[in-house]
Amino acid sequence: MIREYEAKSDKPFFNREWSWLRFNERVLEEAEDERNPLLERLKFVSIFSNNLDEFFMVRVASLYRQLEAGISASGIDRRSPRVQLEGVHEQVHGLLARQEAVLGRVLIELAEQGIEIVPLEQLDEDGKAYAKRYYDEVIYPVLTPMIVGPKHPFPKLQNLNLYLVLRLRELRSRKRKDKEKEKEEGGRRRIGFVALPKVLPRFLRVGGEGNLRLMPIESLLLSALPGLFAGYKVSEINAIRVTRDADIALDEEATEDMRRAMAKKLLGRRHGAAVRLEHGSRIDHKLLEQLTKELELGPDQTYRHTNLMQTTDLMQVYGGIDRGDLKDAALTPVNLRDGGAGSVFDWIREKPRLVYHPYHTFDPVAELVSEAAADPNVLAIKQTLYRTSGNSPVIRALTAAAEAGKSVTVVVELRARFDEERNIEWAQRLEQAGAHVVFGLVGYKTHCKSLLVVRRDPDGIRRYMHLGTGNYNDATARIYTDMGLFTCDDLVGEDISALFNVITGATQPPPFNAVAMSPEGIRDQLLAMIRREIEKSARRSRGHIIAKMNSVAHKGIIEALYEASQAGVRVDLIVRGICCLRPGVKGLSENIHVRSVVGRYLEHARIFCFKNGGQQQIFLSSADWMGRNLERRVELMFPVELPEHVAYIKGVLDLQLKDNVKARQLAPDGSYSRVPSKRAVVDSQVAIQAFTDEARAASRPVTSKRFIPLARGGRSGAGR
Amino acid sequence: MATVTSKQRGTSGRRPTPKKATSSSAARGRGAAPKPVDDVAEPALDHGLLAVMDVGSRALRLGIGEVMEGRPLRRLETLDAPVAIGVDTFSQGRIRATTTEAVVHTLEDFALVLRDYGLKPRDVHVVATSAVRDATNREVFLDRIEKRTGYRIVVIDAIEETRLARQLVRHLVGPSLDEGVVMLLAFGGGGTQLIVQRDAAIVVAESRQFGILKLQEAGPIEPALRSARRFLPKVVRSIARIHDLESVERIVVVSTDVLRFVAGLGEPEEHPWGLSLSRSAFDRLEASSRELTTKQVAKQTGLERGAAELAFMAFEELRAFVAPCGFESVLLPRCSMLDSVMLDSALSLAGTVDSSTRDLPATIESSAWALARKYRISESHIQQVRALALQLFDQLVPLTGLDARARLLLSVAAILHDIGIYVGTTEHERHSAYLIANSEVMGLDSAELRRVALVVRHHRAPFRDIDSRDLGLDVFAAGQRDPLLPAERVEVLKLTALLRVADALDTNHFCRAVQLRVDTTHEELHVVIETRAGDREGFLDLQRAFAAKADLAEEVFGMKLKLIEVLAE
Repeated sequence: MIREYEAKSDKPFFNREWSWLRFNERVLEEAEDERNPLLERLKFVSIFSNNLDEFFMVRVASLYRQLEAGISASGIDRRSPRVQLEGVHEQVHGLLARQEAVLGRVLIELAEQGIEIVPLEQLDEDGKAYAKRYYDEVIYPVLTPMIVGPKHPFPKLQNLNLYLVLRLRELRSRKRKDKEKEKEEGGRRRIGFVALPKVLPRFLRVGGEGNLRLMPIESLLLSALPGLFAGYKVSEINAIRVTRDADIALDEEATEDMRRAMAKKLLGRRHGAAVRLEHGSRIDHKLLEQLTKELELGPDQTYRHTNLMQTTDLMQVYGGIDRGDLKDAALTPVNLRDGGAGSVFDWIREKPRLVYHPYHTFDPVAELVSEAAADPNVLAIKQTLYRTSGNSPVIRALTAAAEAGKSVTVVVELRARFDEERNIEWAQRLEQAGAHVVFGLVGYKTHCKSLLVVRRDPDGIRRYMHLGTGNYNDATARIYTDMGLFTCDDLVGEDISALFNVITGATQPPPFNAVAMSPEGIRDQLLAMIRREIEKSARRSRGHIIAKMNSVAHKGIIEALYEASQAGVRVDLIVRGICCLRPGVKGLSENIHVRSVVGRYLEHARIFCFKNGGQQQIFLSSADWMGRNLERRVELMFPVELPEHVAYIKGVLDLQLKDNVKARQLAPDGSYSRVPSKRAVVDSQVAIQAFTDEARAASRPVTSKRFIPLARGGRSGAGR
Repeated sequence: MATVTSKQRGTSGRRPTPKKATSSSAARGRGAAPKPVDDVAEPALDHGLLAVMDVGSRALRLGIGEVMEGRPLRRLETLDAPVAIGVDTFSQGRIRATTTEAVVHTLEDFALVLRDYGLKPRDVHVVATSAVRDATNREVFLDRIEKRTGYRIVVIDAIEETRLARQLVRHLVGPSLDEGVVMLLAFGGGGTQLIVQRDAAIVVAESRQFGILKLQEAGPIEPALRSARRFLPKVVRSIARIHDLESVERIVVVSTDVLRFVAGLGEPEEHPWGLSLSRSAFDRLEASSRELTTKQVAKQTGLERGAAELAFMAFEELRAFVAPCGFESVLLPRCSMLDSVMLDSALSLAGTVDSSTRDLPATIESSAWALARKYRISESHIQQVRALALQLFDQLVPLTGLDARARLLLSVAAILHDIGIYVGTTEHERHSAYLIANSEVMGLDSAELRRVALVVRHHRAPFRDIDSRDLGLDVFAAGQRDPLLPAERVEVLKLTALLRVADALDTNHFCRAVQLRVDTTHEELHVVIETRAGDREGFLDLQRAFAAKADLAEEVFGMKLKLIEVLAE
């Protein structure tokens, strides 16, 4: 069904939104894939829903804004917002049906494994009593029932919050006076709302022997509602959920004329307009009509659920259940620093170090910050922080460094989606400690990930750096695959100093020695390198580009890649998410191969590899090949040159190109399909861990065994 | 304002302030041997860090560098923030309050980067050029900046820019630069520097008051280009009338704008230090760029419109300067004012350098000679007077307590003392003094040059008193106090005394060598000279001249001067 959308089109570019939906379809496929352990499948259902929520808040909301502003065509494929929206809604309906089906199957199978999600009615007496007590003591105090009536306007339903909506009928009053009043107020019918408290876990663990039973708290609420609305007769209870425009102030994807049009027309626009209404299956036709009218939604913006709603909460189930047999076998990451005790500075000075999370642990990064904070020879620490956890070791160390009087500069990106409040809070803490907190440049999000430590070494000032493809977040570093390079190279150091000076507004971008910087710098260098690949490509030795990233949607880059393909350059793209490039079309892109890996880890590293006539060049970057990354953000692209690193990265890319478990290839018609596995089975994410272990073993210095005599009365070695 | 000019003392601003100079020269007076010139260096900054800033006409630039023994200067940070001070100064004559505000904000941003290295605004050697120098409100501007941000800006003379540019280019390109006839051009926003040197000896060293920003006149570019095309060739022709530009073999251009223009539009060769164009490549570029519009320049160089316009204007300027030259190649070193100030600061740090690169005394004397030759002086007389004056100086150091810098000023005074004869012989010391005070000597700031002029002013005729107003400069407007500090006044008196004696001794090219003997019992100073035999007449002339000119020396040193003749072998 999805396939038809692009198959019929002869446009050279795929629609961005539809391509994204196909990415989310691949996430859903992971839930559907019976080879995956049950709880992992449940997790993918949750991720799918979470992704979709963000998609509606940002992308769909943006399409509606364009529609309102009367923009006739947008996106790389120049389709009208209306056509795009139609496609989105139709495809989302299809995906949701599949999600509900798979969720049903997974829940049944989980029940067979002793994990049940059950409504209140199915609990035994003890369970019911326990639930009742939980309601009285925990839930009831935080509930706020709302009634819509003549004196009570329609409430602002919070974004992404589950509500129970119900019909109320005021019980007959005995007093005549009240009756008259009633008439004045327009009848006795009302609508009531109760929000599910966000502060509480969605599922209540109900004891009992053997099986683990989890009860969604809305089922507990259902039975308690009559008590909440005393004086009313309650009927037709349904769950609903509203998704609103996230008000990302200016969509980074918008072109200049689009911005102008939108700025003009949307000044008086309501903030946080609703873009989607989800509702339970039994909702009354009239009530639904009333709700859509109040929320100013069209009929195609409502979504009906027959199963559990707000399935994002299933992540709580996944996280809360310790059943190794129902989850992926954990891979043990390598800590590059273990055994290499001593100063992290010495470690970096010895040679540049490459880390690939989560195959390598995040520890060295945290260690660099914390050691820098404590080292008296460290003069300054500078770091970009995009999305990070407030109690992260990184922020604690930075705060300590600032308190110790070091020059600490932190570039905080407040415009990180949905994280604004959290960011502001720890930003203030840092500022109080004496750090210089800057919020980036007007009009450009700071998306690069760099850490710079200026240290006075005995032989002069030296700059130690960590440059990464992902955020400084110890939590996501266990789930996202990101590469990072530790180096103290002088030329790179000069560049990164300059980069920070640009971000803090102290200087204009200088010509860089080794790195490239967005806006524009990365794009121009990429285009130049693609062009160079074309020039150096010969019949005997074809050019070759391998690039791995999250999204490809930049028109200029895609067109350059088409040119390269036509010139005989082989292009292998490993693109996890959006890909607007149409591969494999004869005369256009027959030498371009696109695959996507969706697996247990979220593929997040950006790696660009150019054959360059045999003098191969590899770059890591924080930037995807999208307009927003290359033109409207501050991003960084940096080279990796140490032969052992180059070999490692090539090995990683090679495994991803061989993957036949979690990889799908993109066909010219826009469909993705699993790679037929004739050869040995390769699950790249699992294989990379083994590969990383091997690389670690190979690079570890061979130490000869030493025999140490037992000291008299001394320690007997290990175990003590 | 006197304070500003006295602050300009020294070429790098790192030299001690006048107050310090007295104490240090007194200290040196006790040690007998004359010290080599230019050993006046500040102690190295903590940990070898140095910070310099260029307050240019288009931007503020900060550089932080590290100097460590046995290693080349290493640049740690380079900041470049656009602030168009020059647009204000060159179009309205003064720096506007909003621009001053922008400067303050930028300097505050810079301070945060300084903090990363444990540096403070006070530690930065800040140099300002024409954009501040030519602003009518520069004192107010400098004061406001210092009060609000703590940075102390030193406004340097145009000729000092020339020296800095030459020094950097020599450092970058290497000793080969000193071979043959080389013309060095530096195009700034508000001024143009010109040097011609022949086998390292300076023939011309001048700065001119037009720069690419001034030429652009902050108006539409096309008319500005047209008027520049009329104006510039005239200027260059006037220079070519005095100096032989035809013999120039190589042209070195210090200008980021020209560099960008050439990089975008020409076919230059790459060097580690920059770009170069062969004669034929230059001619091709010159021909092909004639019909270009600024829009095309912007497109081909990848520069923004404003930057492209300036690049175009800078190339126009080069085109004019190149016209009368018979050159073979054009060198375009990649360097900026910031680079040259940074290098100079590094070179002035003790123990960090091969000091030959800097070699300030040689530069200064070479530049003085170039000026003297322009006025067709008698070289043998000058050589002789200079040699005698320096001999006297060296032997009298225990008495005068003067330092190496003073010796250099005496040398320059000796070289230039007769240039006024070019105007007229009668009272030529007046003409000499006036010419000197209105000329430029590379390596000396204007205050020093005025002291040289004062020394020359009184090198003959009965001595009255020294008064800076004698120089007839605008700086000393009616009623203004003589800006000489007491110590400077004494230094000028001593140097004048020495020059008068030296000049007297060469009255008729008679004298060959001098010995000095101090007879302390009689409070007498015996000047022993070797003379050629058989010329009583000559000796009597000399004695007369000596008697007439020794007056000041007797007063200054508090001794009777006696001339004693010894016959040469």
